[in-house]
Amino acid sequence: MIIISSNVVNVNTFINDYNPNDIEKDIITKMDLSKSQYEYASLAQFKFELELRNSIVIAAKNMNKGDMDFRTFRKSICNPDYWDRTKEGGFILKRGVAPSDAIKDISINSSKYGTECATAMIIIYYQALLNIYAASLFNKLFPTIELMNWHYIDNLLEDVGYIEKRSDYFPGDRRYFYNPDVDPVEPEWQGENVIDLSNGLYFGHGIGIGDNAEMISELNKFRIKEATTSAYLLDSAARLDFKTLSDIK
Amino acid sequence: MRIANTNDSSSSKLKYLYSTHREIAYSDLKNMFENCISNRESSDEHDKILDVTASLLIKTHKDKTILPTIVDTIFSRNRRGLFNHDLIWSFFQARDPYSLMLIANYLNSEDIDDVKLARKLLDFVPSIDMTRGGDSKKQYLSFFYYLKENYPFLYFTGESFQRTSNPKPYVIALDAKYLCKRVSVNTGKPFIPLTQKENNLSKYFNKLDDDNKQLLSNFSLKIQYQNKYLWRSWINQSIIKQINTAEARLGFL
Repeated sequence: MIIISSNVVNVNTFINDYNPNDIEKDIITKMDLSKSQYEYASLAQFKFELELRNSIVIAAKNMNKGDMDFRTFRKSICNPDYWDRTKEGGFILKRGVAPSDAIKDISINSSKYGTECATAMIIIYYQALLNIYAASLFNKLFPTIELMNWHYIDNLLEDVGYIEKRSDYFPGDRRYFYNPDVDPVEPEWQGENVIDLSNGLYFGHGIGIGDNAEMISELNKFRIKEATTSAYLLDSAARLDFKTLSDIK
Repeated sequence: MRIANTNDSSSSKLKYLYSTHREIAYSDLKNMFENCISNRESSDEHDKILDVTASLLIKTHKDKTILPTIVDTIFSRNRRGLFNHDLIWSFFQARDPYSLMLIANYLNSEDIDDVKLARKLLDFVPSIDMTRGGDSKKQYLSFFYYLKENYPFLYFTGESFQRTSNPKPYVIALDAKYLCKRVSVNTGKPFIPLTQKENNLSKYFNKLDDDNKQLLSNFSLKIQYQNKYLWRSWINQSIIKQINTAEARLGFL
């Protein structure tokens, strides 16, 4: 059920008025059919979440089309015109560079970048926000950026670091495929961070786009020889604080 | 999209390690590890070999003797801003709750970077707020007593920093603590199968909210330790009476 300004939303009327795309329609339908209540202070707040979730899905699909390599942190690479590589293998925004330009460059010059799946997730969130916010606002909100994993994360994005059980899962959520029997020489395949693209598809950097079975099958290739446990999708997700982000002007 | 470098390296040693690690004898692996330790942080490649040998020794050969050295290396790298995530992952893969004291020792370090990392790695303990500054010695003692009390009931979850900002690598099997039954660190299930009566107790216990689960599991362990006769009498009461007794008496135990 969707509640906006204390009123239950008639989904059919909303769909007619708003004319959502397929991703947004998927989100609306799931929320409407859910046993949980999805409450919003305003229509604008609800629309913002739909737009940002859609933007996350688009950013993930674009990354899949690009040439960014999967590389371990030890061998990660970035475009030195925009980023400084840390000794840990993360990327820090270069001094004097506009954050929006640096984030855009990851798409424009994707072949100059290579990193692990967690960093890719953070990049997707920044790219999605840059599609929603004006560059000037984006630069004001994120004057310094460090890209690595859930260790180093901006306060405004910190919720995507916390993965927990949810009553429903939506496009734009970060999910995690866990690979408990991973080969000890390849710990980077201990799991795969993915973005829910809707229709049962996921994007994970290093694997690409696939359904549940394809993600599992790919991870299972990196298990120990005597493995007994298959990789599996965790019943949990991390998601942005859409409401806080929507209130930013 | 391409998978570029997961297996490649200019180092022939590393290539050798990747291609033949299943055939390398334990003693040879251990020699490689010790050689790496004596030259640690001399090069990124060297550290990579150290990480791989550590992972193999822990995961494949169940070698826990290297854990103190690994913890020292993790903290040493942290002070220099070097990559240590794989080594942290390997350390937790040992599935040995006692080894957490090796990290807790760094709560008393004079180096603030050591203290910060120790707090971060031990932040999964719900009863200890590791994120606040405060008195590190108190945090150390709190952690020591937490581990002493809960060790038999901790099990490994597999959570890591690749998955989440706040990994909880170990959690307490509260129902086992309530029944005072030691669990497997791998599964969280009691080593000795539960009796029908214990299964029933467990069923009622698992329907409680988190606060009452905490209350009963803490009280049960304390009273069982102090007086087994009283414990048996208490746990045979209805779950409501157990809660009432625990609420009234826990502060006095």
